[in-house]
Amino acid sequence: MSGDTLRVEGLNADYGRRRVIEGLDLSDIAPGRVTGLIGPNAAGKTTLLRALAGLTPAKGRIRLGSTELSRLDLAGRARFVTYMPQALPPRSGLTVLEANLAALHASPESLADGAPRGEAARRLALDTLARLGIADLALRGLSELSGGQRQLASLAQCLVRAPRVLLLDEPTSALDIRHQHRVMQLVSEIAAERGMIVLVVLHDIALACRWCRRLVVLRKGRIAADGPPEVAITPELLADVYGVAARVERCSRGQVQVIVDGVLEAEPTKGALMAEPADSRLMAEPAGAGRAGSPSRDGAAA
Amino acid sequence: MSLTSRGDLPGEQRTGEADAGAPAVLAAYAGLVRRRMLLVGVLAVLTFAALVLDIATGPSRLALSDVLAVLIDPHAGDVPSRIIVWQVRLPAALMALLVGAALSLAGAEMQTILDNPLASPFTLGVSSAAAFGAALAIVLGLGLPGLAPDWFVPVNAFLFAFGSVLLLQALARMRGTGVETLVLFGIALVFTFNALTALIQFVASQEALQQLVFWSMGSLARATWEGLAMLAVILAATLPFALGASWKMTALRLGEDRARSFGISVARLRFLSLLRVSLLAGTATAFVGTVGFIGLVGPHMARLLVGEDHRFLLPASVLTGALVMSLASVASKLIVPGTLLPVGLVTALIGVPVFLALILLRRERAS
Repeated sequence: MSGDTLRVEGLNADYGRRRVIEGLDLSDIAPGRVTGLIGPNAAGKTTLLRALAGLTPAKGRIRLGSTELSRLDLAGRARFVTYMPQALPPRSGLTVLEANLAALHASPESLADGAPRGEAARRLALDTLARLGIADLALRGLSELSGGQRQLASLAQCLVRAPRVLLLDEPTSALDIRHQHRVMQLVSEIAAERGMIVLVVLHDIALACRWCRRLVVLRKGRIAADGPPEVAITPELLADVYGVAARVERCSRGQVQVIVDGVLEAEPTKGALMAEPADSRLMAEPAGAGRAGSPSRDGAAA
Repeated sequence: MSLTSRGDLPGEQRTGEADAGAPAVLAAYAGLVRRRMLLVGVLAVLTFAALVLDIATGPSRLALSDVLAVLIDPHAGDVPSRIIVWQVRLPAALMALLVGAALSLAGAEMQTILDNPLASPFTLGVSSAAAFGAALAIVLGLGLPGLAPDWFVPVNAFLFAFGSVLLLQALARMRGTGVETLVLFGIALVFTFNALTALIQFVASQEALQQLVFWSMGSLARATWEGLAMLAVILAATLPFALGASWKMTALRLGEDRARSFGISVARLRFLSLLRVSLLAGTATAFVGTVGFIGLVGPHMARLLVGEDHRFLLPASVLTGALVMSLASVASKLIVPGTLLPVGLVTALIGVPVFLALILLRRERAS
């Protein structure tokens, strides 16, 4: 049951009248670990997550094990999938615990095991807060919290529903570096504990490389790369997708590090370097060439 | 890999299953819930007291004991007392209660589903539309064919109020229309209907103009038992559905995308809610005319008292609306002795200070 993977075949989705995702296929996204979704602005990351959650109309097949999610309506989809929007929960007068209870009671029909009631529901809502280390905030109003606390409260509202698939849209965008890692650490742990599929949109490649076992790189609604960070992230890819001249190195602990040297000309994929008077050496260097002394992708894989 | 292990980020509360503090937190939450239920109970008692006070107040100076005696036993007391209590005061007092309840409930629902604290039947064009409908009847004598002329004003007011919400509704269902657009459209409705009403006023006779102005100030004097019964039925029919959607509305306060991801069809929730709003606001306005402020202030007072858990917010809104309206009705009889002021004027006069007092009290408590 919990070994089911998430698969996407031939997904098309629009944002307004613009086609954002085109013919996208994603092979098995494994449970129990965090899969990162990265790419430049307007690559279709959010649209992909929303399409998976059923919030944006999309054509194509989305399957969780043998369940065809794409055939389910919003309520049906919510039995399996929960989407956490990028925006923090509004500064309402609800307390953190109440917000969790609302997430639980909002549509009992779309909870896989039915909604727990009464004392059981309150205990579950509080346990979820405790798991994220914010049980002490249970009776505080959402409007009284800091950005980091609200982000954790927001995560709790998703986790309390015990989804099989958790879709997180830039869950670290409002956070300082400590809370960024804190959130990713908790998500990784809980994914492993529950055998949950987690797909997370991140902008910070370093953070993505640190916490995601698999990275899917999107560019203009298509997959530009897909694999473990050390395979997916290459200087060529960074030049091609983001339009930056960057090195990909390994630190002493063996983790992928991306060092950006400069910005290529506005249009990525052309490969031409932007004239940058401050650093003329960079201009002379071909994009993506590994520098002497820095382990290349091949070196890393060895 | 050691950095990934739990505890390497110091200063975090230990994570895990709910720790020793859990029973205390749950007990505190249970206390909070009890306090809210108590507050709703207190509101109910106050509302009832206001109703009694409203019935006891009037220009004819009946003693409270006489009023109560006639109320308890309709055959007690002399005939004038019976007529004053049963034909004049009771319908007006009950109408105040029901209109306040209906408008406040409508306002509470609107504020949540449109995610706007300024939303109310009054601010988003429902009352203006009703006034235009009434103007058509009063000035131009237009009404549904086959209807007794006595019913032209309330029926027109209802139809236009209902229609204006349906118009908002149609816009809400148009693809890609956000709640901001909906609110702006509501404000546009206010100006449009106000302008149309002004146009009718411009061509109206002196007498009709006076009648129309009086109608648009809102008055409980035109309360009838038929009207009361209709409003009571509408309120009784809509309130259970509103309460049934209370968790969904609470979840909507977490943001529309989040609510949808929890499996709530927000479009459907909004449609059904606006349908209730149109019935409540349309009927209330039809029988008493324009009563501003209750639909705006009632929900805010309730929110300040019991928070945003809609299981408590909606009943509390019903009661705060009824309470403020009853007090306004009392005040309308007392401000100028011997004269019944239009209640719509008084609601603003009494609503604003109460509202401000609550905000200031709350700020004081918070600091």
